Amino acid sequence: MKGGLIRRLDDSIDFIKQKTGGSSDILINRFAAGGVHCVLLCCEGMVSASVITELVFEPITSIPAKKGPHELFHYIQEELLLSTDRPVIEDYDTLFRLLYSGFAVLLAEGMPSALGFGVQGYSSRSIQEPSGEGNVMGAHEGFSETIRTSMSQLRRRMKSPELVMDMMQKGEKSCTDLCICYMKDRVPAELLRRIRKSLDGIRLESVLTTGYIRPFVESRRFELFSSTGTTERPDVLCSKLIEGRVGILVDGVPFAIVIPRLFCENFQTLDDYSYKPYYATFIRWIKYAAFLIAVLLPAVYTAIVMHHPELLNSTLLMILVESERQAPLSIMTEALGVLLMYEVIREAGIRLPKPMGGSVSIVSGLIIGDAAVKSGLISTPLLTVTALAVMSGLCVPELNPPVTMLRFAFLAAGGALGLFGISLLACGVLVNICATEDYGFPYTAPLSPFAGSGMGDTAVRSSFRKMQDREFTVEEYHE
Amino acid sequence: MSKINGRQLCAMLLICDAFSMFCFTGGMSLVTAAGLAAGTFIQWAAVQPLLRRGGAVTKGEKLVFGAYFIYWGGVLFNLQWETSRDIYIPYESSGGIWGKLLISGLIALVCLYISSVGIKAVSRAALIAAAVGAGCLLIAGISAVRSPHWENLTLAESGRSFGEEVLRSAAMSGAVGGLAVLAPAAKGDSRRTAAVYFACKLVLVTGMVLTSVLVAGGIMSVTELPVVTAAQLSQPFPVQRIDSLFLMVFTVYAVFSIGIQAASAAYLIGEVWPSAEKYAGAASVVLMIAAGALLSKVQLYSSSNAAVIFAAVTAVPMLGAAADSAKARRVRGC
Repeated sequence: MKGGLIRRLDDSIDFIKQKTGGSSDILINRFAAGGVHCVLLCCEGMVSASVITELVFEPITSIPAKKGPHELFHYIQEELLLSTDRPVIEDYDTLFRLLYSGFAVLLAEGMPSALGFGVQGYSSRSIQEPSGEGNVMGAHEGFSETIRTSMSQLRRRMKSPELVMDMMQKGEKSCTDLCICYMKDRVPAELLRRIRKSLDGIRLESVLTTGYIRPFVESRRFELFSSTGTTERPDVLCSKLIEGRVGILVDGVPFAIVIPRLFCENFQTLDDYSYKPYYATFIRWIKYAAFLIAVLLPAVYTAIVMHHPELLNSTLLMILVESERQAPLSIMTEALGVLLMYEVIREAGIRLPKPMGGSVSIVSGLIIGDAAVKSGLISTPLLTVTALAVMSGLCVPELNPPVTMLRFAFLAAGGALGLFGISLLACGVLVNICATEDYGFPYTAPLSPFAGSGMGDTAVRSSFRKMQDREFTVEEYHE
Repeated sequence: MSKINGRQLCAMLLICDAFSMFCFTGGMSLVTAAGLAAGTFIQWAAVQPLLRRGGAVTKGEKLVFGAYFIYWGGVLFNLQWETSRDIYIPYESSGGIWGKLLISGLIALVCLYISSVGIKAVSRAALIAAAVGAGCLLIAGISAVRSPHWENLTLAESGRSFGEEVLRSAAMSGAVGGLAVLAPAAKGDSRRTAAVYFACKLVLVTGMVLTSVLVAGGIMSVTELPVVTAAQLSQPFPVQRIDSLFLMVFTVYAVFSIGIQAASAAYLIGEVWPSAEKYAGAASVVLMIAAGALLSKVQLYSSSNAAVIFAAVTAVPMLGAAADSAKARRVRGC
């Protein structure tokens, strides 16, 4: 559909009707402006009715008579200034793209081009607090589904010409807007080039979530942990951009993809930088411990009770023996059952309508949990251990999928082969994590390869007085 | 090969050395410590020509070192097989020969995965594993030294002369062959990195021998695996045991020691036959298992083992250099 618009207005409208299949949401308004027959096209629900009436219809219909359509278009472009965004449309591909993006399109008899007016006014969710990245002392606004709003949120925080936001479209049918964000003075040029190349490889029909994009910007090798991250906070994305990373915003999704992602970043939150360094360091180590507890505690408990009771002191051993003696199932079966039940309840809690969420909590917590312990089906220590592991996993929410799967895998290894099995699996997992790498940035940096300078924001959280002179960019970790 | 760093190189080689020490059989004494320390100095001197040459350079040298890694991997498989007798591994203890085969099979499986991800990823993982293992060994060491039996230092008898201990040090130092492949791949001055490695090795082996002698010196004559026995005897708490901590370190170091040989061999196979790179990891692990089966009767501390290691690290680079200069002379003559 390249090569200019049809000059005859009726034929052009017929062509548009034919291409859109007479879709009901395409509004065709015929009128005369300056003595020239015109049509204003817009998509219902995508434009603001009041804006289009005040800023387009009223001025256009009161244009004095003109010699022809060329003079009319010249007058509108140069003297009326109906909106800030006024692209000239030369082909039907662009026409449809703009039309479906909320532009009003003006066609005139005898003109091989059209004028677009940015009068978008579709309803969208307002800026709200992020649901999965809560914090106490930072801003309380997250990205919204509208990409332009998300871009403006970034710009409000980074009033620097170095911040570049490049728009592109992906998805043959969905024509979803993507926005690559980076600081041009910080981002490694090679990283940016390779990300663009990866994005060029996308041949999807639609892009509906960040999950459609991420596989294309991640390594093809099997990786337990994702080497790209997501955030729903503009302030977090800004901090990543300043470190030389690349962000990708996707229209219709209130999350941004951050490339590259490091393992240690899963334990960093914006609140860390609001508290005193000693407290932030303490909280960070709590999260490291929570990660290990979430993955290993049920497995280690099962391994110790089943295979290595000598690790327990006599008092603890007696308590465990007494409680497990009354349980009818083996410890491993019990542990697997409890963990599976938790996953079922969690999934039900997410998918159910919110008013029913409370009922799920009551049924799961009070009825199933209490009844299972009282009836003797599950021992109290095991339930405690499982609950602790599950709660600890919630401290690092971004790692929840791999943590859940690893918890099951380690439980099976620990139950079958004791601490030997856990060690063996730990070797495999460790190597997998260390093999995770995206665009030459090792996921385990700055731990391995070790970078002492990176420990200031990994092992501890140094004060800003120390960090301000460092001018850290992620390129330091490139291998 | 993409560059690894000096710390990672040291970590990989030290893990192999630590595992060899875990599997140390026979008596230990102060003479052993002195012999191993002297042996470390000799090894450091012996690898200088190899480092000057820049590791395995020619196709022939790469093939020789590829075979060497498979040989040493087979020896390590044997060591794991023999030593796991004295370490409680669930299922293996009750499963008999099938249990033992299952355990070895699982270790081989993890090694297969390790060799498939490449030496760079293994080196990163080795650094973390070495740090964690060092922490665990430190706990075991501290608990051993908390109630030292100093008299054991003089009581312990290894039944070997100083020279025999030096030979034993050479025979159990297969890790030094890793310098042929890993040192040229390391960032910075490889000779400086090697010096740091040998210094760390000196501290590691003498520290482990002295700790073992302090703890198990009194029963050294009846002890088959002194390091394992020392770990079992040294308990920091009065009412609970930490043997399992040692089991975990043993397992991790066994897997990494064998995995590093497999990854190095796979890398060299891929260098010599690029078309076989995809299957190099699997091939090297299978060859190692076969080598382990063939070498099951070979004593780790035999002079033949020491000879293989020394020939690889000293003779191969010298012969390679001689061949290079002969070729250069021929070219000049033409």
